[in-house]
Amino acid sequence: MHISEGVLSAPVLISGAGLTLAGTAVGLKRLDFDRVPQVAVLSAVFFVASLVHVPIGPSSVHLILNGLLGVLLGWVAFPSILIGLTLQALLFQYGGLTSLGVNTLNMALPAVTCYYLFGRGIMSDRAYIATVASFLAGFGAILLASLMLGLSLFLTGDSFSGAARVIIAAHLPVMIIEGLITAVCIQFLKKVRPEIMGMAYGR
Amino acid sequence: MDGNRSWTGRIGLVAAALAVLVWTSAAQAHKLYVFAWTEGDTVHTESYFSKSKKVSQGTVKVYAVSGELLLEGRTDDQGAFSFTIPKKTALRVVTEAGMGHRGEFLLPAEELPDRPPEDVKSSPPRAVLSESVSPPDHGPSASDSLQVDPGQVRKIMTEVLDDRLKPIIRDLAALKKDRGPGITEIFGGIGYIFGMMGLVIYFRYRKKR
Repeated sequence: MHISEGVLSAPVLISGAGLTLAGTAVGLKRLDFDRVPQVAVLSAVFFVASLVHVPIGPSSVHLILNGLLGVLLGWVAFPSILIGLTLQALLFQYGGLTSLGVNTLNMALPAVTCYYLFGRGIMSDRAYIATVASFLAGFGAILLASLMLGLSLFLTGDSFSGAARVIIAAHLPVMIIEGLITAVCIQFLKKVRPEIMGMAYGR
Repeated sequence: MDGNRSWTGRIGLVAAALAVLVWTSAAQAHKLYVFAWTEGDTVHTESYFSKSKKVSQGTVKVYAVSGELLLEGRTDDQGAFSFTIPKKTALRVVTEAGMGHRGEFLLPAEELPDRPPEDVKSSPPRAVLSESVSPPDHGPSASDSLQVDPGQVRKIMTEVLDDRLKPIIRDLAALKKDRGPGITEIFGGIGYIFGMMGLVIYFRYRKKR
């Protein structure tokens, strides 16, 4: 999911960086001071998550958890993911500093989208609706991120349908796993710390 | 705020536990490593994600330092790709494996054999020692009867050295493979994040007073 240095063309890199900057600005503006520790914890979780490899068949894929960040943080997922990816690029050499903007956009925009798409469902009082919505948020965030990755490569010259199909197929296991993780986490938080969910959805 | 803190602590513990868990299972699929070494007039390259996961059927492009594309090929299932040295210049070996994965290796010009391989091959197979040709009644002055063709010697030396150094080069390549993120990087990163949080809270706190 991390695009390396030197893969994308300059226009793609620049527009990715610009959009990420805009998203980060929106996120920082909406960041409530009381939530800073929560954002830090989730950034740390995101930073570590990509080290968790799930061996599936001949290859292994890693967690991203952008769906979980999205439904808990909304627009604040942008600065949070940007921090996580910056540290991953600097310390693990995952992705690269020039592709930081595009990578952040590819993971954070799906996160924000899932916040708006499934937020109402997640806050629903009926347990099964909440569970299904949070599963879909985890699942959908990876699906959308795969499409964004395919789109970034397409804008640089790869054929979209070919690249996207391979990427989605490779990430299908992650989608299911992250759907389950997100569903379990949300259910847990709603039960144990309902005020955190309240903060995320302004209640 | 109190409830928040205990929640934070719990997740922090989980993150630390995850980090340790991951550190012990050193699987890795992000960073693409490329390693290249010379053997005679051939450059061997190896591309891999980790020790066990090679880049099969990745595109390898070889550039001169000037940026000129010299040749292009595909890795086999073992991530290996070999080619004969196209030009005496520093070579940039770039491997692309799809989905945005890319890695490169710079092979400095000093590591290439001093003379283009064609020269060594085309040099006439002169007698290495002229001793047998020299008339027998001459005195045993070794200095003028022992004429050695430097090109030939260089070639023999290169062959011997290549043979001797092969295991060392292999070891070096193997050493480079296990460079996944270590415990230092993982906890360092988590520390940075919490340090930033501390800074934000500190400045906010001062402003409020």
